[in-house]
Amino acid sequence: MKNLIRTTLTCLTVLSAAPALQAQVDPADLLNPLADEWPTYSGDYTGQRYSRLTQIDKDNVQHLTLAWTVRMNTNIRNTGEVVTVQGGEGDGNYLPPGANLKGNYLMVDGVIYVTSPDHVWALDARDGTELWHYFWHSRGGIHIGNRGPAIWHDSLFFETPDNYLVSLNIHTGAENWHVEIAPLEQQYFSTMAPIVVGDRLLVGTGNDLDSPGFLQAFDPASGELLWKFYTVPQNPGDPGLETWPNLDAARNGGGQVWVPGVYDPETNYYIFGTGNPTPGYTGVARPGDNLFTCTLMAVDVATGEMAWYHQTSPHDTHDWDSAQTPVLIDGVIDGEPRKLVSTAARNGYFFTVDRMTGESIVTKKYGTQSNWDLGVREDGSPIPNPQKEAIIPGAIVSPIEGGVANWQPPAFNPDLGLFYTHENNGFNIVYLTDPDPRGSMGLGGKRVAIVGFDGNAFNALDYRTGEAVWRHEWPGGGGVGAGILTTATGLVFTGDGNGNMVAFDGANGELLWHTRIGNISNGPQTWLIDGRQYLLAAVRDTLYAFVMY
Amino acid sequence: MFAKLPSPLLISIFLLLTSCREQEQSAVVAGPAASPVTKTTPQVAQAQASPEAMPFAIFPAQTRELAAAEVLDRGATVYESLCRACHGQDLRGGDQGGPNLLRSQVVLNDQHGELIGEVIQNGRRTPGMPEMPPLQVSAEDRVAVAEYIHSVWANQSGQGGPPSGEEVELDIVVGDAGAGEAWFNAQCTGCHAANGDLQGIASRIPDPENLQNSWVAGRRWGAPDPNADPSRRQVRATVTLNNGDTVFGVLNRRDDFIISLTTDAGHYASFTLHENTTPAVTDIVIDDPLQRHRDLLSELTNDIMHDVTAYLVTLK
Repeated sequence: MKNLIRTTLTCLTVLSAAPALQAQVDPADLLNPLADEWPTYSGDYTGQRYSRLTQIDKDNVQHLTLAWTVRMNTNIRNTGEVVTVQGGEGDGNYLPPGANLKGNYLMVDGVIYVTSPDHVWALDARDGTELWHYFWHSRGGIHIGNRGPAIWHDSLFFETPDNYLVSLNIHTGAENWHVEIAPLEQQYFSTMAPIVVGDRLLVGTGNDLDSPGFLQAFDPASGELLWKFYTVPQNPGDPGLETWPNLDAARNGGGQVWVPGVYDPETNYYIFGTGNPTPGYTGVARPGDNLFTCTLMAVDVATGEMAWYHQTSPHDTHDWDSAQTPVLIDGVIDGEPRKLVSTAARNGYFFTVDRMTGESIVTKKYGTQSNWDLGVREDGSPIPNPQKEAIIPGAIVSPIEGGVANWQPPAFNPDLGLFYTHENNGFNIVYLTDPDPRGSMGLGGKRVAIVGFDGNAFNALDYRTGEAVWRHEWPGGGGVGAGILTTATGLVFTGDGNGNMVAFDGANGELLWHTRIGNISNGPQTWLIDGRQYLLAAVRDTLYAFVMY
Repeated sequence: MFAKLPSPLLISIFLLLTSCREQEQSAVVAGPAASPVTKTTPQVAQAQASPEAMPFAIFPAQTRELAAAEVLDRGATVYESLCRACHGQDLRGGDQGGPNLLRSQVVLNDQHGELIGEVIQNGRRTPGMPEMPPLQVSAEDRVAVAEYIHSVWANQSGQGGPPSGEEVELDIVVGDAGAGEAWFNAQCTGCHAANGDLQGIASRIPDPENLQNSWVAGRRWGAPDPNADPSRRQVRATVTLNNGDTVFGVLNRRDDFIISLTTDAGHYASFTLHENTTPAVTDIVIDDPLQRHRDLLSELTNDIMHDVTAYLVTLK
């Protein structure tokens, strides 16, 4: 990403002659606000997904045109225009899985970089032409999704379900190196989009079997491990151990780091959320708050040490990870300018916290049907209701396992002061099937019956109060999972769960545009190509690019 | 400097180097170092015959080739006599404080007894954990007990559930049937009758858990009912147009932009909403027989739910 290229059409014309030869990302470019390109997971470090592009506005959004669509080609090709570059530690006994586009993709210098479990593609952003394809022969792991790549200079990085961090040459897809980031034997699986901060690459993993969560920093040049931060206590004396019954429980306590966080250059803090404690549903084995699971926290990128934390779901017993991407907000609270971070958790609570100190400012329920808690503690953390844990005769609980929101990124419009999030109000009956006092393992020991949804909606929340300024209830169900994008023209793009990509007027919730391409499986993204604004969204295995002429 | 090294050999050498470096970095790691890097090819016994699509989840512990039956029998015997007291009959930890072996990093990383055997032979002292003494076990038996532990893992259910053992009978019927009947009479008799449509419901849905799920959701769990009348569950809609027409039928789909119906004559009809169309939809009335069930979701407490279930199981 070269700054001079982004400004003049002349340069863009030059660029078009050789798009794949120009692309590179200087880490300093990632400090710029989201505009012409999309060089990191959330577009920029704030997590706001607020684009400064203004070509698409409330008056003309109805005239968006489909520019191209591409169904990702997962075939391993040995001949033809694109020959698949192959790597991996697997024995080759598995055919590649079909594409599963549940991430945020990068657009740099006219090239889009797309990932799916075990696959990476480079596409010409003008027409979707495939430039190269990389396939990783897997050893296994859970192939649930891949949240996207990272780019540092001319290297691209992605994680694999069998826990390798792979570095590719962005011009050719040729592999630079790969390193193991967690043992598959312990049933880790990796999905996170790595995040570049300066000359560090931040990497998380996932696990559903009682193994501890951690965030690691690697040298993007060499793949060398620089530090490893465990989210749950590993040794006597570690902070948070007092919130577990014993060290064994803490060491097996989960708290995975599987969704990218945000970065504050002022403090050098990487701010992110952690996943659920384990065993997930049988809290009997781990009485206490279970720090630092389901926690919003800041880690110093230089040292890998925790600066502050705020627990968003003490002693979770419903697999409600709190790993969703938070949003940095420079706001005003009680007349005072404040540096803030907000997050809408899977458990149905919205939080605004001082991002310098972790001080709680707002804790407010946005899941209007959530029924699992007994209110909020003085420190701003919700209080779980033990009656809503899995019990033998069944507990009626909202939300369902997928949560009120999930990994799909929210958005924040600083002009309007509004935080946008989906609100899914499912109900399930949760039965305890393993009443063993030792607790179960992983996500075992329960049976769940989803008995209905009531009033799924889309919310625009005031970050200062958590109150909905407007709320759009989807008729006929809808909701569930699509990421969100907002723009300087006051638009909000997302999916409605009924197969439509939609555009709202971000100020009042009026629906301005829709197109029925299927349920959006990632978050809409936008960028500028040849002076025109594009909008990209994925539906399962297919990309759709819209353009404003 | 490694940006242009496509050769697999060089990549392998580089991987080796970075692996070593990773080990050397353990001094700056906050917490224990990463487990030893294992580079052996996983055993994928179930997938050797022919290539197949990648299953959703596959881990070495569930796909490994098991040892011969006599080795596993021998391992089970050794486990019973030496390990069970501390680690439990099901390996999930015992009365004397031994940790759950099924989620143990040593067990999960072990291939064929090289790690488990080392702990058996030398014992283990971890600060904050119960101490494990060294045990006098032959090398052969150490491998056998490791293989036995791995065989238990191979029977593990899905994402970290406990191993399938004896089925535990759990009685979910704990409520007050009298209170449930009173609530039913107050809330449900507008649509249902104990001596009408729900007569014998507990015989038709004999499993109380299925019965509870069914009555809360308003749709049947368990085996389908061959005598069910699907029209009872159908959502119907009446669409009124600005030319005075009304269209009535079974609702197919509704979102912010369209509504579609199938009329009683079997004709499909759809109408655009939210735009200036001719004719335009001026009114939609939805008749959803399950609306009351949806409303109930937020009203139900555990106690009411259990009481009503306790009442319904009496309707044999």
